[in-house]
Amino acid sequence: MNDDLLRLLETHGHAISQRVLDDMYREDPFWTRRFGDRGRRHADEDSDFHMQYLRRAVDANDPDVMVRYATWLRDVLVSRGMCSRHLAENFERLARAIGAHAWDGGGKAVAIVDGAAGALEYRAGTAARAVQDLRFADDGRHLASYLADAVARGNSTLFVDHVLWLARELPGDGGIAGLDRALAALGETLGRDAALEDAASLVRCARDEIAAIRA
Amino acid sequence: MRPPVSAASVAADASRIAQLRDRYLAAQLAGDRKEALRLVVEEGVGAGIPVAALQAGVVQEAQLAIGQLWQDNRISVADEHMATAISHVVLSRLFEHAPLGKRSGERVVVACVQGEMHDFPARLVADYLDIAGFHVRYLGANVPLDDLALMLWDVKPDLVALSVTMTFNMGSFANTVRRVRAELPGLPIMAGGNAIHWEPEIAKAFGTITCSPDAACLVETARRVIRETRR
Repeated sequence: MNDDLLRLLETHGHAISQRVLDDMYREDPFWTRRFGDRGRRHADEDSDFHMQYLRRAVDANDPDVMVRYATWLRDVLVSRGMCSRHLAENFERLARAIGAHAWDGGGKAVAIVDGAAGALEYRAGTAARAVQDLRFADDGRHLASYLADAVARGNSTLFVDHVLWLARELPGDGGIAGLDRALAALGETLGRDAALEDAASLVRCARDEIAAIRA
Repeated sequence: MRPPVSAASVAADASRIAQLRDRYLAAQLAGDRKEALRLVVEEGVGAGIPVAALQAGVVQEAQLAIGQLWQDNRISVADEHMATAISHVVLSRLFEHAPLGKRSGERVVVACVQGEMHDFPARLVADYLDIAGFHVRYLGANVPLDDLALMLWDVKPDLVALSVTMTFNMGSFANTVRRVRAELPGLPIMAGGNAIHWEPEIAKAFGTITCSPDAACLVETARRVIRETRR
């Protein structure tokens, strides 16, 4: 069964992963605006790597191959301006796209890719995980994800740089004001838990930066 | 008899090597091949630091740091390649300065499996073994399986060492091991590289030999395996 699945992934994997990327780029202008054509080229390459590691995990009957790859790749991408949620979303879409083919034995590949997405949650009980678990919609969810990555690495720049990029991209003071409201909501939620003071402090720092821009 | 080595002198050596590594890394990042060479030859070999300590403590450690800098987005792929190219040149020069061990006559073929483009770790292993006295054939990156098999038939080595860095090349590694077993049954196979580190159970399942990537362990393991195979 493995051989059949490996053949299918080899034959269709590139097209599937490209369709996933196409959808992500079409649905969210963030990708092109933030990373441009160069980013898309890297994303194309990474998508092929996803499939290579997936095939290896299937062949080895070892989901941890994909888990190790996912956590390693997260480190690479977070330092380049993405957040954990972005990569998790990419994997979740990839799993759904593979599952949609309803291949015999395809559930194994779906489970491996879903497992990789799940592995991007930080360890339970950590501040980073608590931030990841905050429930926000859309943009707020990504803000929380950037914040979680910054907290996990003790690197405030990962969060503040993203906020500043958003502030520069948003149209006029109205857009920036909206971003500030989202940050205020995030900060208020974090403020309810003393264990998340470091994260709350990062949000305050980002809001100060935005205030300086508005001034 | 060797003079006793004090803890203080060991610490001083470690500190000297660490400082040399930092300066070597800076030279790599500046693309300054001459300075990188000067550091290891004049301030390393010339100051009496053993070649093995320079290979491991300066060049290998600097390469690990280079990899981490790329991962952290502090240098580009071009920077990484430039730095690695410098380390290849430096390894060549260090090899010239190494006191070659007594030739044992034991033959080792070192190769990256087909598809594997990262040849630096294999190069280092080849140098370690060659300096220790093995007769080494180093085949470099991405060795086509058929050509590796031909080389093994030709050389009839006592040991083949396979390197695989990227996990997605583990399938190629598996094919290589199967082919070597079919062509030369009984030839011991040593496996190394980052992918083996990620999937150690695969190396074990294939009955290949692994050890930590330091010179002493590699040499000792290679000698032991060859000795046991010859019994």
